[in-house]
Amino acid sequence: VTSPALTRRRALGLLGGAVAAAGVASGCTTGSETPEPDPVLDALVAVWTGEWQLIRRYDATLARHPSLAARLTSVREDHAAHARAIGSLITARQSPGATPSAVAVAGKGAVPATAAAALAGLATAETKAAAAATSACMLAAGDTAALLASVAACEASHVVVLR
Amino acid sequence: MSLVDALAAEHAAVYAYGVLGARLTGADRREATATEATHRARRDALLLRLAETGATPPPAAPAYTLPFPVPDARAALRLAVLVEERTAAAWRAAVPRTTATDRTAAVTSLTDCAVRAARWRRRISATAPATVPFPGS
Repeated sequence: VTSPALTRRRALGLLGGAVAAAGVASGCTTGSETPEPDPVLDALVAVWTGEWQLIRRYDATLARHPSLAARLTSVREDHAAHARAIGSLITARQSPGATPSAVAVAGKGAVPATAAAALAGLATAETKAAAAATSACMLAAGDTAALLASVAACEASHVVVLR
Repeated sequence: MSLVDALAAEHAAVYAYGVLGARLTGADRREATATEATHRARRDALLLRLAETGATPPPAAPAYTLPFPVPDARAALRLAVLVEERTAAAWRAAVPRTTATDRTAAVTSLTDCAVRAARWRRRISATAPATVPFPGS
């Protein structure tokens, strides 16, 4: 089981690649130039942030309910793969020279006391994440659209494991 | 035409479920029967859609070569996983080449394939990972 501290370090390490993109997405400017609005980039950053929120939520759940490790570890790894892939797309898409700004990955919140309630909460979160990835897919083109469709499909399939 | 490829995959899925369903019993058999109907419905919707666009849809082959022999339930479950993975790949390939309602149908179909593949994998093994990070890729 990955400790929350290690997770945070990993999250921050990965953040390095996408922080600048978040600056673009939130409308930061480089000097006098205003970046072109890029709704796809905004959507990618939102999905990427959601992936990290889920990763942290799985880590917190695993810390509280270690007996769920056999079910949840591979699901968490799926999200880590999503975060890596989407982070790469964000890095490739961002404007050169954009001013980085911090990304806040929201706090993990309380983990339910029972494993059953924790699984139910995760299933709800996966369904929401799948819907968000589907919406982002509808905005995107090419390989980005295909990747987001796969992310949505994967997240919907996680509900099978969580039930 | 990517929807043509999706149609070919759905034709093959309907055929494969007919074969594999016969090797299953109980709840697995019922799920295979229901899934065959789902793929049939998806195929029929695609035929209508392709007719609207003026494309010439490929006919179903009279028989398909199965990737491995299916003598028993275990092989049938493995084939079910493979069918869903291949159908997922066809729908994923359709995503970048479609827009609006066609794109929505492609994402929904990809998602449904991924969910069914996870269900079948779980029936094969309770311990191996039931999901893959990028279905259809």
